[in-house]
Amino acid sequence: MSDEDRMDALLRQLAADEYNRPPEIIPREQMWEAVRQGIGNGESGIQGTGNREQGTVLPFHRRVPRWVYYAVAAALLLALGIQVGRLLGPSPAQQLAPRTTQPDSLGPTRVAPESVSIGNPRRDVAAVDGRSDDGAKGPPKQKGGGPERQLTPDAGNDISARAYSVAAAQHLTEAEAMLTAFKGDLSRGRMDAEISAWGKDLLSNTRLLLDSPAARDPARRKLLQDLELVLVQIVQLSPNSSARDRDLIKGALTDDQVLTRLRTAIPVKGT
Amino acid sequence: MLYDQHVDRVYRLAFRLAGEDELARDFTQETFIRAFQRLKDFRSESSFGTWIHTIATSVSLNGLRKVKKFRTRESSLDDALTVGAVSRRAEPDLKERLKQAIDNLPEGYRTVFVMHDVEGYTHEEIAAALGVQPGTSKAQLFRARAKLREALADFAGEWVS
Repeated sequence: MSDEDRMDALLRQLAADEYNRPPEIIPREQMWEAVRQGIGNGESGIQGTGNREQGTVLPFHRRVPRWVYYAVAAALLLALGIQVGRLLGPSPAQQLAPRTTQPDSLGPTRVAPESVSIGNPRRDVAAVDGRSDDGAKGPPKQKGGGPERQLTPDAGNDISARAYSVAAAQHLTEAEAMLTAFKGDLSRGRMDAEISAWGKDLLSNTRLLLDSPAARDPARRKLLQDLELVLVQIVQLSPNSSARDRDLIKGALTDDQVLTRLRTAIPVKGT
Repeated sequence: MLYDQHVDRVYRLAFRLAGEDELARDFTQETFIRAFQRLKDFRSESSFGTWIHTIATSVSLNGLRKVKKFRTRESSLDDALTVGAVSRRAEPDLKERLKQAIDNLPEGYRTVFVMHDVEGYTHEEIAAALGVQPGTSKAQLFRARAKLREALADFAGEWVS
């Protein structure tokens, strides 16, 4: 046996004995409980598996160098989602004004009174008060030649719900990344000030989502509420906080399986 | 039950790669959650064990990249404050040096070394889990060992005597 072989054998033996040696007792039951809960949440909160590559986790953080960009992107997306939801949802004028029947002479390109146009979503309001886009009285006229794509209120609501779902998914993805980083801090008994700032951003977005239609789904609402509770604790944690304060947060994370539930609730890539 | 059959090996691998109980638990749990959710996608072309180890390595390595990126950012600040103290430290012992050397291996080398030399996976199992050829696994193990020998060369005299 050459010196190299002998050294390799010794290294192998030493590494097997010493390198990151797992504990003798493996916490099977505790992990199973978390897995069971994760699967349960997945059934109610996740739709489909899409064409996601087998065995990969979401590439959320992979390509962007700093989490700050994600915080900004998530906030923008959330705001966009809410704005889209407001535009596509039923407007107050639609709800209050009595519906009028348009004369048949409007032809095939007229906007049906009970439809919402994607291209000009507020045109239905103009139709209600009998004013066209240019302010002149009379039946509303379409711009452009071809028939406009029309959606029923149900379709509009569907798009709105999807927009909220996208915003919620983006938010949960970011929250998962933040909590993972925070857990790393926690296990080493330290607290980074950036985590706290990150937590504040997430907290405000969580509150926005809780007040939006995204929270209509009971499972998601419960998750957002638990997340909000954890985030409040993290934000209030000072660098000089006691070990007990940290343990309380750790307990909240562990007992409610917030991190596991977040990971489960994040839709897979491609869905 | 599938969970009972595979959980120990998955957890051990996750722990060897992560070095922390909490991370190892997280990775193990996530592995099984993903596996059970996508059980219908599992085709019997490979064994369930191979399939779940594919998920486990992917989950663990991606999770570690996430954690490492965050810690690197933090430690660069710490290093700036303690740069003078490091050189005066006593020489770490062999175990510590070995751990550092393994930790410092490139990710691919380290994964193969841990799976093969530490946890006893075959090159075929490693290749299936990492989506590479068995020859690639062998080559990476060879290079990993060479790098470790190089990093621990100053101990070589004591070992081979």
